[in-house]
Amino acid sequence: MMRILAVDDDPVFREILESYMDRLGYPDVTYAMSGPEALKSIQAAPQPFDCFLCDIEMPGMNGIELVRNIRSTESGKRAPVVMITSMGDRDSVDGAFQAGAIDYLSKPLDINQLRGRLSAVERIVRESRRFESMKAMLRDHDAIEQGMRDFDEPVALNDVDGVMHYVAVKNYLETVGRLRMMNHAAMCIHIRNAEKLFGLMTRTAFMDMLGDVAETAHGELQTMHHMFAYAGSGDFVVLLPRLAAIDPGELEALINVALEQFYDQLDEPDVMRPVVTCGPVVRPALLQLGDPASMLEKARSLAQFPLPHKTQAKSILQTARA
Amino acid sequence: MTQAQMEDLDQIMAQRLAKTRDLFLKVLAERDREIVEARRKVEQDEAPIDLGMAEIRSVYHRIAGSAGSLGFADFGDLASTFEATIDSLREARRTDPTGWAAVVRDSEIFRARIAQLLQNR
Repeated sequence: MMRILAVDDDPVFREILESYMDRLGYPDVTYAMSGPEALKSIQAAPQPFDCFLCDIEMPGMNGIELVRNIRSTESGKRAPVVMITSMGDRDSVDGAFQAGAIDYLSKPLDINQLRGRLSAVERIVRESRRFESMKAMLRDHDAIEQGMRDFDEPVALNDVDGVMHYVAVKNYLETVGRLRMMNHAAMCIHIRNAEKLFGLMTRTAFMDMLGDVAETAHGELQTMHHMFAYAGSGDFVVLLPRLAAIDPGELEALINVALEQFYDQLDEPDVMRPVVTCGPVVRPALLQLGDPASMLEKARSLAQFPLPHKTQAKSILQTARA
Repeated sequence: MTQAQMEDLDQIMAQRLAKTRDLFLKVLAERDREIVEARRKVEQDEAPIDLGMAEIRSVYHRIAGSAGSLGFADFGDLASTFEATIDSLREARRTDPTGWAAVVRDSEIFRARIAQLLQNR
């Protein structure tokens, strides 16, 4: 059963939500009327919450600040956060996703929409619990690690700042809709030897390697407004503003140089090193509005092939090595 | 779960929502007073127009978020429309007497709807 914390300043809305949650079979819900009260509930909870539902517009600490605060707590680091928004909050949705929300619900609340969102969240919670128990088991039985988890599965790299869940990035694109999607572009950072590393490394080491790549790539992208997630199969997807001035060849070189430097510093000469390729930036065509998530898939497929701007990347690599 | 059990749950939810509807109407009188108070403060120079607009917008926002789930969809839509109007005025930096006059006009329409709902209770 999911333990849920729901936060909304409006008593009428809280009552509506409570009626719906009971009807849908979610009795274990704690209700808070403000951000500070929610944080107190998190601290006082005997068991951590599995999921958070947060209103965006609240007096004092708003929903986005609250999500940031939740994400900074140990128990709130991994749990899915769903924002509750009204039409007037739509501009805040971007900030909420960046702060760590994975989905949103519209006000006035529709019970079927709520049912759908909670089912999706439950799947993530189940997956997360399975993964946590697997990790605990693998710590003790390293040999069992081989062959566990699928290579093409998106993984939530919760310990790396700025990395979102892949589901959250896809939900974000669905949220902004087909028209506002025009303001975005996508690219993919692909670990070229990911499959090989997956076969050779233990799962824990593979996850650590993903974390290294994520931290490095996120560091190189930091000056740019972006969303970033691991989509599986060695692919990190990056969502950027449509007009972002980004050179994938340069980015690729910078990430590879930073990774080389990072692994050089480690006193482990035998450690297997990842090498990345950055695919071209994919911008949706004006008259070809498809499924928002298809932009991400296109970016992923294009990153599997060598880029035409290798010369520049090579020169950056040579300069760094010299 | 059997069909009968589901119907029971639906009935329980409907009963609870009917109670919430009563709470909504009770709170509505309070929201009306908030609008009056926000207008008074601006009109008596106790608060700037921007703050007055923010306070009235907050009333619309809360009503828009719950009215639709309690059988007052039109009223919720009206609140949403007036909320969006205030957002537009603030975005266009029309937090001047002309913008304020538009907000007051909308609030009169809104208050009349509140009075109607409370009368029909």
